[in-house]
This record gives sequence, structure tokens and C-alpha cells, in this order.
Amino acid sequence: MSPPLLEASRLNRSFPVGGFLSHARRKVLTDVSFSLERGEILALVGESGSGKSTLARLLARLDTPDSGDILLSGENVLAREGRSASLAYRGRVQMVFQDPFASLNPVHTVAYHLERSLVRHGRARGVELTRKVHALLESVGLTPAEQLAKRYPHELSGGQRQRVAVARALAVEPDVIIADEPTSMLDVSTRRGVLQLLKGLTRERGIGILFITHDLASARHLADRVLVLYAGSVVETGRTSDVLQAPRHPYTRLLLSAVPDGADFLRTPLPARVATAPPPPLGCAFAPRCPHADVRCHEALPPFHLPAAEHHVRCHLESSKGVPDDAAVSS
Amino acid sequence: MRETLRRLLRQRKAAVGGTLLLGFLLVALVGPWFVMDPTELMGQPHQPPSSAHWFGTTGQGQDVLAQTVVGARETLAIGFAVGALVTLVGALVGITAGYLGRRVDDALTLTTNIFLVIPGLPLAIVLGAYLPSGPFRMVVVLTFAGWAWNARVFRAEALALRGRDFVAAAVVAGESHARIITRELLPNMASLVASSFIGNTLYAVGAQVGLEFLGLGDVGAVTWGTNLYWAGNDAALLTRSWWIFVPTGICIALVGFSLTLLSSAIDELTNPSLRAPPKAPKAAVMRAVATPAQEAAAPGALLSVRDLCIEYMTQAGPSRVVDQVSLDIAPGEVFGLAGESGSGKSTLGYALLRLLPSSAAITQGSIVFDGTDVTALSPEALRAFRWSRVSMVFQSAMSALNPVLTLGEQFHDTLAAHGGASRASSYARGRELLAMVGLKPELVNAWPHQLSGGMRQRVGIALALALEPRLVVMDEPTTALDVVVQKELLQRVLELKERLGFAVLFITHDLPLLLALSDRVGILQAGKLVEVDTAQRLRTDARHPYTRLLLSSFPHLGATDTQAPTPDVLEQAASALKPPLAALPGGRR
Repeated sequence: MSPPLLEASRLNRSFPVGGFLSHARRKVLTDVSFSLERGEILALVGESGSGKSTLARLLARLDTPDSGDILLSGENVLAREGRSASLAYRGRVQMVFQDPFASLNPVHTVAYHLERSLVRHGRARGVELTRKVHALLESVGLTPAEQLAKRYPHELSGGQRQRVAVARALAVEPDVIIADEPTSMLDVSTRRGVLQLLKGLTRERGIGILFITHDLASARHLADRVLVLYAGSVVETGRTSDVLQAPRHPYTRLLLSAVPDGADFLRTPLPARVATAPPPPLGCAFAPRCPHADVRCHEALPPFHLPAAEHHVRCHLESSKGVPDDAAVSS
Repeated sequence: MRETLRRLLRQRKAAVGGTLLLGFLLVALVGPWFVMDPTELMGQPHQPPSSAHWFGTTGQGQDVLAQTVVGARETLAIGFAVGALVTLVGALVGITAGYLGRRVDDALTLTTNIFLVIPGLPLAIVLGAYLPSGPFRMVVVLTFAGWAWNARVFRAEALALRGRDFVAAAVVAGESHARIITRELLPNMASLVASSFIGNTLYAVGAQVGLEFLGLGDVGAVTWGTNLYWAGNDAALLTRSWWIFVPTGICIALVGFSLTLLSSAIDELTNPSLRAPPKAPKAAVMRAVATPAQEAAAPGALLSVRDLCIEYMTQAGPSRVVDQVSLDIAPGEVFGLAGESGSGKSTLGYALLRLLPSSAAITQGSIVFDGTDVTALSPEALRAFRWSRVSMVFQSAMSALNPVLTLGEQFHDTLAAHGGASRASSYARGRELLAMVGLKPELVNAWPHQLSGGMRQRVGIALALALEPRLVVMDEPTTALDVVVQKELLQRVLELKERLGFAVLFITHDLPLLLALSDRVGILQAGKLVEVDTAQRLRTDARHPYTRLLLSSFPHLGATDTQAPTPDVLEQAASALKPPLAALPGGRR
């Protein structure tokens, strides 16, 4: 079996808090592991502060983890390259940012943004450059390409800007695209177009996409697999249909119950308690808010359980259901 | 770039400053060929202006006109050279420190700060003693004493830009540090570079004249500073020979004036908020006709909006943002207003409290609240009306709360402004209100920054309910919140509404949320209310194509629909209808 396209293994990241001489650090990511296959969309969901964007920055190599490994096609890139990413890594892993109003430089034209990526990675040069820029713009549905290439970012709508950002990522012909909430700043009527564009990329070019979002509904439509992050740890992961239709972790259930969908969504109570204590240092981070939490949850970090094939849940409740891990795997 | 230059020229300040400065440059460049030798003793000393010597002669008999004209050359040359050098050194050091950060930043910032605390004048005197005399010495001395302040300005700017996504995007694209600094950061600082250059030139001219006047320059050269030095030495003041120093003084003042004008013009150009706001469009003559419309108000309605038009004045002329909107809200009703960015939904909400920015105005129509015509209220009546009858919850709770006041003080501000409550009673009411929205009453002594986003928004709601209004306008109060927090908050709002009986105008782009929350929903497209119906009916049989487009844009969680892609025609039709928002200040995106 060939190694996965992109694999993260036990990534940890913490940031210093407090003043000048303080050594205190706040943990943002704890032992996050996952893998992404070619042509697959993995949705990373969680609330703000759960560490989604930190994880995206680690994988885009804008930041370096305290510990843990990033493997690209089985090759440990952090061990080989250290702090700053090689051009080869940049040529294979690209990122689309959340805010298309900020991710394009206001002083440069659309063409400049695309040409730089093409030239820097040797994908085109000379007369070929203009033709390639136009082809890229057409591939993301921006026509007429000749006119749009000459425009400046402020002359484009939000949806058009995000398409330019996608085109820039595509210019280097990457294998992986990290999309950090690519539609949250867009108007609803343009969101679907951008999502469909991303989906098409996985089908046509076999690009693997890590789709970071807080919107479970779009994750359901786009993603093959879902990874739920809570307070910097993975609490549940599995195939989209398993996780979103038969959620196992109480936090996933809470998230799902809060998605505005259906007439009586405001009438159903939230399956959570008001947190009265900070998360226990050793136990499950969700324990103070969990309606089912017991003593175990406050004392020990639950291990991963496998209620179904490829479905991982980090919750003590799963083990008390008496489903042995190996039985679940074999089913 | 060409557009920027054109706009710069169109500005009066820039035109006056630029013309003046160009005139001086011309004089400095070609003037010396048309006047006498400034160092030769051409006539009698201390002669007032005459036909032979237009500006008179100095204490030794040189021609003052010649000295003034020739002095301009070296003075301005040194001024611009130092201006450019100080900007260059300051920008390089500052941007490098700000962009690279860490150790480099520490080292460079420390150096900068050391230079800042060394007083400039003694430094210049000490340096001057070790360097050969001449214009070069002046340039070195002034650059040495002046770059540090600039480095700080550029470092701050680089720090602000470094965090922007386009820099991160350039890093991900594989660009080198040098290229990011020169091609991504620097072009974004063009206006700062320009205004710094002008400001530094001003500094250089001033400092140079000062040093030379004290005799610390090259006293043999002819510059404006040495002119003044010799005027002092030759006792021009004692002999009342005003003509010796007045021309030079006026020249220095005029150059300073032109540079100040230019730098302020650049600031205004790049910071639109410094510009005088465009005048709001005048209300149409329709005002008189508004009376019959009032009668059309639905009986029993709490709020009746009839044919409301709101226009913004933009550079391209008036732009209609709300277009003939009519709607009614019944007491205790939740009315949802949905629309995309630029549809005018927030403008409509603000108009109900007459909180429009100065460049916008209600040009037509009426807003009748409980029998009062809001559009006709006097300033005092309006002050009493706002918050006690209609209040508002804003999108960003952090910017709606005052960061330097405790919550209790903010409750007191609101309550005292409407009927002079004592501080103790305000705090008591504050506790009660906080408990009402599900927060601990003790938080009345907390500061806004100690609260999470969801808690702040609860405080926003508590403040909005402080005076028991009959209508609360909520402008995207949950857009910045997580879904779980959003649901908690909305459930609390509905519960309070049942108990207190206020009506809600809820504004958001999130149609599924609105359908679950509201009794009736209005869909706003490009300022027009295209459809109003009960939430139930909109859910199943929306009639307007735009409503259907919006509904289909939200993927559902439960249904097994893998909907067909939205017809692109419809999407284009939707975007084509949008008003030109780019010109509006504060337009949401």
C-alpha cells in the first residue's frame, strides 16, 4: 500500500502567553494526527478557538509545530527541511485563505498574482505565461480571461477574488490544497460555486483538499471524510456519512444540533451543560460541558474507539457500550 | 498610479503646495544665472531696497536678492537629499525589523531606540567637529540624527502588513524574503513613503537652517541658514536693516508651508476618512406627500414603513441603497430581513433609529412607529425616542461596548441619559438585566475585554432591553459567533420576547436561521423588498426567483439532496442587480 498523500502525526503547538518573562504557554493543538489521500476531501470542523487555523498554518508551513511530523507522500518533511519550507514543498502543498479581500495584494493585478506563482515554480515562462494565465482563469470559471487578468483585486467581487485565489493555488500544480474557510466571507449565492469548483478539482486532477470549516452543512456536501476538532484535539473522525448521520461523540452531537436547519431547530434544547469548571488537566476537554460526563471523564483522557470501520471516537461512553474495538474493525 | 497622480493634482492643497515648491525649485535651478554674484561686495553696506539692489544690501555690501536666490539652491538640495536618505534608511531598517521579527527586530529596534534618545542637536554638533566642512557634512549629520524616528514608523507599518493574508499567501507561493519586502510590502507603503519623504525634507530644511544659523554649518557657503547667520553677525536687527533677513525668512516659511500642504494632501488622499464627507442627498419634494402614506399604515402595526428610499452620496452621484420599501411589524412579532451584502438591509435597520451616516439621507417615504413619524422628529425628541422606544443590537459587540468602562458604567450611561437614574439604581438594574440574559449579576463590575464573544453579545442584548423598548433592531448579532453559542443566544432572545413582549427586526444573510426564528420574513435584493411572507410559506413555496436562489444556496444537513448546481444565469442576474457598493464607506461585504 502506498503511503497517504499527506499525513500529520501527533502535531503539537502551543503559544507563549503572559508577559515578557513569563514561561506560560497555551496549548492550541494536542497530538493531532490524520491522513489525506489523493482526490479526497477531508473536512476539518470545530468552533473558533479549536485550533483549525493553527493546524492549517502548520500544514502550509507558515508556522512550525513544537513536536510531531508532517509526511508528504511518506517523506518526513520537517525532519529534512526544518523551519523553512523548500520550494518543492510549496510546489506541492498550496493554501487558499479565508478572506479573499486580504489574500490578494491590492497593488498587483490578477495576472501578476498568477504569473509569480507560475514563474517561481518554473511552470511557464515567456510567451507561454500569458496563455497559461488565461487558461488558469478559465479553469476557475473567470471569463473573459483577457479582461479579468488586467483587473486589480478591488475591481472584482468577493466570489471572483476567491476564484483568483484558487487559480493562484492551482498555478503551481499542487497535490494538496489547504482551504481555510474559503467561503465564510462570501455571499451565500456565490458560495456554492466556489465549493463546486473545489469539488471538481479533486475529481479532475486528483488533488487532495483539506477543507477547514465551521459549517457542518457544507462539510456534509463536500467532504468524503470529517475530522472534528475540540479544544485542539481530534474527538471524532470518520466517513462523512458515519460522523454526521450517526455521531458518537457528545460534542459532534452538540455541533449538529446547533446547525440552523428545519423549522424547529430553535425549539430543541442543546445537548450540553453550561461549563462550570475549566477543562480537567488530565481528562477529556469536553467533560465540563458534556451532559453524560462521569468521574472517568475528569480523570483520564479517553482512548480512541472504533465503533465502525474508519470511524474513530475519543470518548469514554463508547467503551462503556461494551463494543470491543476489534469487533468494530472486523464488521 | 496615474489615477492617483491625477487625483493629487485635482486637490487644492496639493495644487497650491506643489506650485509653490516647483516655483522655488525653478528659482534654485536657474535663478543663480540671472542675479549678481552673492559673495562680491557690490555696493554700500546696509542699503535699503533700491533700483540697483532690489532687496537691498547686506551688512557688508553684498546683494540680498542674489544671496536669497543662490541660497535656495544649496538649501533645497541638502533638504531633498536628506529627506530621501532619511526615508530610505528609516524604511529599510524599519521594514526589515518589522518583517523579519525575532532577533533581527530586537537588535534593530534597540539600535533605533538608542538613536531616538540621543538628542539630535548635540549629536549633530559632535559629529560636525569630526567631518570635513561642506554640504556633504550637513547631509551626513542630518541623516544620522533623523533616521531613527522614521524607522519606527516604517516598522509599525511593516508589522501591520506582515500579518495580512497576502503576505502569507506570497510565502506559500514560495516568494523570497527580499521579494516580499520589495514587491509585496513596499508598494503598499507608497503613500507612507511619499508623505515621509515630504515630512523629512521639511525636517531637513528646518534643522539645516537652525544649525547654520548657529554657525555650525559652512559659514563660507551661501545658504539660507548662513544668510541668517551673517545677518545676525552684522547686527541687522540693531541697525533695523529688516531687508537683510526678511526675504530669506519668508522663503523658509513658504517652503515649509508648501511641504506641509503637500504632506497633508497625501494623507487626505490615502486616508479617505480625513476628507470632507460628501453632502447627503436632499430629501425630495415628496416629503409633503408623505402624509397620505401614513394613513395607509396597517391598523394595529407597531412599526409602519412606507415607500422608504435612502440614498448615499458617492463620488459618482447619489446611489439609492433602499428603494421604496414598505413593511409593517406587529407588536411582539419577529420580523426577519434577509439579503446579501449591499442589499441595504443594515442601512434600513439603522434608518429606523435615524442612525444613518452623514453621507446618507432618507429621501422619500415615512417611518411611523406607534403613531410617531420618526422621520419628522426634532433632535431632542429623537434622543428621547432612541433606545427607549426602539433599541439596537449591533453586529460587533466588542466595538459596540466601550472598552474603558465597566459594564455597570455602561448601563448607568444608558439609564442616566433617559431620566437621570442614580448610579446605585443603575447598577441594580444592570445586575437584573445581566441575570435576565443568563449572565452572572456580578459581571456588572467586569470590563468588556474579560468576556467571550457570546457573553458580550448577551450584554449587548441586556443594554438594548434596559429601557424596555417595544422594538429591538438586531443587526447580524450572531454572525461572528459559533453555531452553538448562536443557538443559545437566540433561544434566550425568544424566551425574553415571550416574557417582555417586544418586537424584533432581525437582520441577517442567513436565511435558514431566519426562517426558524421569525414569524415573517422579508427578502431584500439591491434595496428592493422582493418578497414578504410568513416563514412557513417561504420555506415551502417561495415565489420570487431570488428567494429560491437564496434558499437553494444553503446546503441542508438532513435531506439527502445533492442539488443540481445553481443556474449560473440566475447568479449573474443576482449580481448584476447589485448597486455599485465599492464607493460606499463602510459597505459590508
